[in-house]
Amino acid sequence: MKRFLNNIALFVVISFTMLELTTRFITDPFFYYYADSFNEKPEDRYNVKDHQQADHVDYIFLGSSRVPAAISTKEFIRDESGKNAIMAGRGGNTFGVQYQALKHRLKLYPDYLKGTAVFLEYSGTDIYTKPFKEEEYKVYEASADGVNDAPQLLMPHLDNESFLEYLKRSHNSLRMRTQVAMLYTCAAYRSSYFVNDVYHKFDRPLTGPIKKGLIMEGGIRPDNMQEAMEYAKIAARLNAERLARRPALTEESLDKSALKALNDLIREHGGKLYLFRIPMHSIRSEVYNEGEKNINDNRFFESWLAEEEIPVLNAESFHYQDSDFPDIWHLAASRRDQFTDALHQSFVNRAGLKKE
Amino acid sequence: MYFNSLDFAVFLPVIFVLYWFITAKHLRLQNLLIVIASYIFYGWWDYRFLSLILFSSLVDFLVGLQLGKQENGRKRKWLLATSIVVNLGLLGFFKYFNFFAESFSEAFTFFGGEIKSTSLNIILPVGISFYTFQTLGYSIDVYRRKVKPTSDPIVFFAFVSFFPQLVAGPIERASNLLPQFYKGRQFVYGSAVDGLRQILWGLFKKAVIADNCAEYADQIFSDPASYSGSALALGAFFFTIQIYSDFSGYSDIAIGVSRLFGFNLKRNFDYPYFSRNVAEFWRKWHISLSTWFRDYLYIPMGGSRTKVVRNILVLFIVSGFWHGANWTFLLWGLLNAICFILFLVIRGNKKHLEPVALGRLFPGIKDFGAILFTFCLTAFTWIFFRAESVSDVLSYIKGIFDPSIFQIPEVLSLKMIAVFFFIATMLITEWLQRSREHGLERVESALSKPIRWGLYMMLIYSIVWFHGKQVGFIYFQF
Repeated sequence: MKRFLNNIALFVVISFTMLELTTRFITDPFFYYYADSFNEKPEDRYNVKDHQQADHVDYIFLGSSRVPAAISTKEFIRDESGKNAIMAGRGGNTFGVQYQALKHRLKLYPDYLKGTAVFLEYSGTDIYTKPFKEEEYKVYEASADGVNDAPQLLMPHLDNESFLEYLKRSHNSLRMRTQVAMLYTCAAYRSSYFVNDVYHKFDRPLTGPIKKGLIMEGGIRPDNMQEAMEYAKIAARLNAERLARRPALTEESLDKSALKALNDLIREHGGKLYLFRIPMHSIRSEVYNEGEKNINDNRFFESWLAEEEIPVLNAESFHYQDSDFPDIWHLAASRRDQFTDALHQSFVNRAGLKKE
Repeated sequence: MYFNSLDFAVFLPVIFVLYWFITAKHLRLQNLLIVIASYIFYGWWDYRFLSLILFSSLVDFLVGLQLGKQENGRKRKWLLATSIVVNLGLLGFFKYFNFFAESFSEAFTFFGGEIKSTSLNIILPVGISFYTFQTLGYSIDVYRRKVKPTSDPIVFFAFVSFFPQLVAGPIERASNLLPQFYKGRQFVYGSAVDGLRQILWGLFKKAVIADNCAEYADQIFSDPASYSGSALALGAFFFTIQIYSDFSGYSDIAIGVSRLFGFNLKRNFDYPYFSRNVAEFWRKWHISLSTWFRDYLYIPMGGSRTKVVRNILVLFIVSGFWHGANWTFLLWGLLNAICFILFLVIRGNKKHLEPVALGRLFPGIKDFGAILFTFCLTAFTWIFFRAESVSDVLSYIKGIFDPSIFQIPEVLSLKMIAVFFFIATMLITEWLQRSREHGLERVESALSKPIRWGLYMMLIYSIVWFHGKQVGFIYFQF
């Protein structure tokens, strides 16, 4: 038995050490860029590298996967030579990831947000209105089975100090905090995510056309509308229940909210936060406008935004209908540039008004 | 609890340490630990279904005791009937109730009548087909006086619920497994190390081969009308490899884990895809179920002595139905029966009892042709097994036999080429080991320690890096 246990221990130590050393050399930087939520395109790591080194940014877009689906940064700065824009919205994003990302950038480049317009998607009154204390260090935790967890998104924005802060202050479950700790400290563990992700991405057919039904826009296959619709209905119902359970918004709660902290951070460093109304399928948007409680919350929230001098941009010239959402969640790629232009117009008008 | 889960990675070492360090000196305590561990293992899915195992075990334990005491032939028959009714009743209710209710209603409608079908929202308890057959086998063996009934409830409950083989076999016979619970277990270094090797090989087959193949098989079988004939043929190929790697991978892990605890389970697969005819294939595929049906159904019906064609038809149809309540499984059984009977008529089924190309590296052209033909025939029958309905089977087969079978499959990708490489690795390794118990058995004597460890590391890294997305084992649903 002793020999058996000794051999197992030796084998584990040798194989782990070899894997750890190899992966530290081969996959680490690669992985960090890949997982960076401040990248333009997840697969375009060279562009990301440029962004990593940028010491200042003119426009940043924050939010969920709906944001890159609805906005093209290239289109946004088409007529503004010399300016740069970064798309930081992506699936699995949380306030915690984006807040830590900004803090990390500001630590490296104090002028990173000077004169910057930061755009955050505005779907409804649940946009970062939870307490800052709960959200500051939180990564996306989908369910008990962990299938869609996204702890890796936080990795590029942690240093030793903020990693320890995460462990102390995060409101994630113990399972998730363990996972973040493993990801941060152990390259062998990180590499398993990275290599497996890359491996599964080599699934593009070599011959013949790509099967249209298998191209995903955001995570739900558009060839199965029935499933997408059922999923959307369940998600909408859960969201409606969540909003109904939530106590009515108050000045005190909003002053302690994550959104307030984000606005303060941006303002403190010379930038300005804008909310913009994101186009949504009616199943999703109706949730926020039904019932007296929601209507009161909407009114109260917008008056608070006005007090905080957070403008709400409304791309009024952009008209859409439910059929523009192929998976009921994301705007169709064919309408992205039109929405971007309309949003840009709205931003210019708003900024122009302010100047006058 | 899945063998390929983090939960099991924690569970196994904990039970191993308790087993060999805390309870090692007390056989009864060791057996009790096995019962507790097995119930935790099973309850991890749904603790409510523990009552079913408990009930089934209790009935067969009591039936066994009574059969041991009873000399009256009629009463013994009644006791056996009790066990059969309880076990098959449980199986029938949980697995087949909806199928029969719906089929009856459809048949009634077909003949012009009108009846409202009653289907219940029944969840199929994991592994029910396996443990009910194991306990039923015990009662039949005691009835036939082939096995002495056990009077130790802990031993019997451990025999029924032994966690490595509880949910997907191998279906153990009382004559093999039960005596092992009475013998003091000694830790044997060589056996434990080989058990670990077998676990590693099983995990590789499951995570890297089966789960990757599953992605393509699922994609193609879910929408066959959108694919060319060549892609459909590829889909059938991937499912053929998937079902073997998934199930034999599970069996390898189960046998390997048992060896860590000092138990020897029966072999469940003997490299069936290297078979040269259908009869050889069925001697090598899911051996524990085939032999169960042979001993408790085929031979009592008369076996090859009388009405052999009828007996084979019944055997395969029941075997198909055992897999699930769907007409596709019945057809799959029927098709295999027809192939088997045809082969029996033409060639006789006693050929090829020895491993293929024994003592040689490569098979002869004739053997190779026979292996390829048997593989293609098996892949064809798996279409019936995998499709959701009979109409899906027909449209799938129609799609394959289309001129587009000659075009390059549109689903071919770089990842798929990598999957082919993994499949080739598995097939070559198993070919080289075909006279051994499992794919890594010979490495101990053939390779030096550094090379051997390097090989293990490569397999572990492959599992970590190139695993597919599926988690569950196919045979858990049966």
